[in-house]
Amino acid sequence: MKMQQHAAPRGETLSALLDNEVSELDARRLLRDMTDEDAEQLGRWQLARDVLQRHPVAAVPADFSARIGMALEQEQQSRHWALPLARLAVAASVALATVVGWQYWDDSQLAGAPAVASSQRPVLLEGHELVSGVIHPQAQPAALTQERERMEDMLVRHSDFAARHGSQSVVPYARFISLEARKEQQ
Amino acid sequence: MWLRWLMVLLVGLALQAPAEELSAPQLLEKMSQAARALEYRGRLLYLHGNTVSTLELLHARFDGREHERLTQLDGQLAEVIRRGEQVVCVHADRTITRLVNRSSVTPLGLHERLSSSLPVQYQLLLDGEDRVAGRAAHQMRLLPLDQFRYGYRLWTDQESNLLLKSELVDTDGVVLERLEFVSLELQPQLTQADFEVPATLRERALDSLADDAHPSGRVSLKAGWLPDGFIEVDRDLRLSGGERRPVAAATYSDGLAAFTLFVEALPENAGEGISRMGPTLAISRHIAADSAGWLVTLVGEVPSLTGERVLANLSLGTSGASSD
Repeated sequence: MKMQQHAAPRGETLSALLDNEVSELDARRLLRDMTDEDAEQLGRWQLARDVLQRHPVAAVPADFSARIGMALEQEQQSRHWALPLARLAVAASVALATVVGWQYWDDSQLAGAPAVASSQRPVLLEGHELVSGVIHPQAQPAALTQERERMEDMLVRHSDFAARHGSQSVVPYARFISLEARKEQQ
Repeated sequence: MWLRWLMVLLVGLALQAPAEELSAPQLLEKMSQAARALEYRGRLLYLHGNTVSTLELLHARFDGREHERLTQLDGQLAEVIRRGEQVVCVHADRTITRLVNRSSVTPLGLHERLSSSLPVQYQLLLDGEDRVAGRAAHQMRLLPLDQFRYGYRLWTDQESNLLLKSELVDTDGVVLERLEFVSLELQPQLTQADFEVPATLRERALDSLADDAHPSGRVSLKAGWLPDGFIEVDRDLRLSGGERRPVAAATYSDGLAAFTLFVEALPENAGEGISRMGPTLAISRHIAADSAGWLVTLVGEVPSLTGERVLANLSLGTSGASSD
């Protein structure tokens, strides 16, 4: 469903966002303009829906809109997101974050298990999408390069393991190559 | 292997099934054998999210060793060349990573597992016939029986039994990635020269170390929870990244899906969080063990629910060398 930002009532718009029925650009605009009140509303709806559908319960944290705002701001400043495609990917994944992000599960069997870490600050890499957490605000380009190489090595090793022990050898390699080819040239 | 073939033959005779009517498990078995045994060249499309890649695949056997080359055709050049147990990844910046696999662990891939039995966590359905890359294909579905893994849709070539198209499907039925041939040539007369590694600027070694060479390798992973059917299938310790830090890895698989846990001494400014690359999930967490800090990163094609739960129930020990 395509929708206009100001045509639909606020509640309807948020509901569409929760149902993943907004375009990427709309999602991006919505999230930018979201108030804490909206976030609370979204959290309540999602909780209700998760309980109804017996999904693991996901909660939207209290400082949700502040985190999103910071993530978007950081994204605009970062030269790593210079490509329009990458920007769209972030917008789409930010929308995703409202739906699937912050997955705490309510499972009595897991009592005593460590809670999901409170300070989530992943470093975003090309080809990655933000699912939860915020971009590390102090991340330096050198640290990013290091982090990227570390992550790439992990991908290579995982792809190799997956190719030898998983279902099909070509698919893991295709994943890795496709990501490589879309890296921004240094 | 002999015995298995004999049994398949006997079962086939006992059921008196017509030769044309292959069951879905038989098709899967033939598919995994064809992919390794045949010589072929083809162009592929790889799709995930809003990205499309065009790839070329070469596959042949020389001296009984499998050779495979997968090359990105659009955008920057990246490729993977596999010659027997040696795997070379050519990165977009013309650096390469070499991996030589220690053959201590017998591969437990689809090839081996599917020919014995399909993991019980999946249901296999034959979906009739379709066409892919201009060729007649059998269509199959592998449905996961719980929410901790993804499902697959597979199309195999009726003539050669090669896998022509493959889709990874999440628990809501959304296709996360698709790899499909758009053209396929059988017996293209490839030579060893088609699998040569290109000249490069720099090698990024991912050197393999003995497990006891560094504390990272001696860390034992105690998985308090794993999805049913997942077992550890491989592990190693390698020097990784520009700083050549020792990073240990252990891979878990249910025969179809796989995820890898990476363990390293906590780097400075290490982040925690979740990110996603197409169907691949990556989650990093700090875990303390014996007064030392460790960074554990899970990378794999599993739902985030699965990844989070594995990490939340993971504990590390540094005393013993064994693991669960």
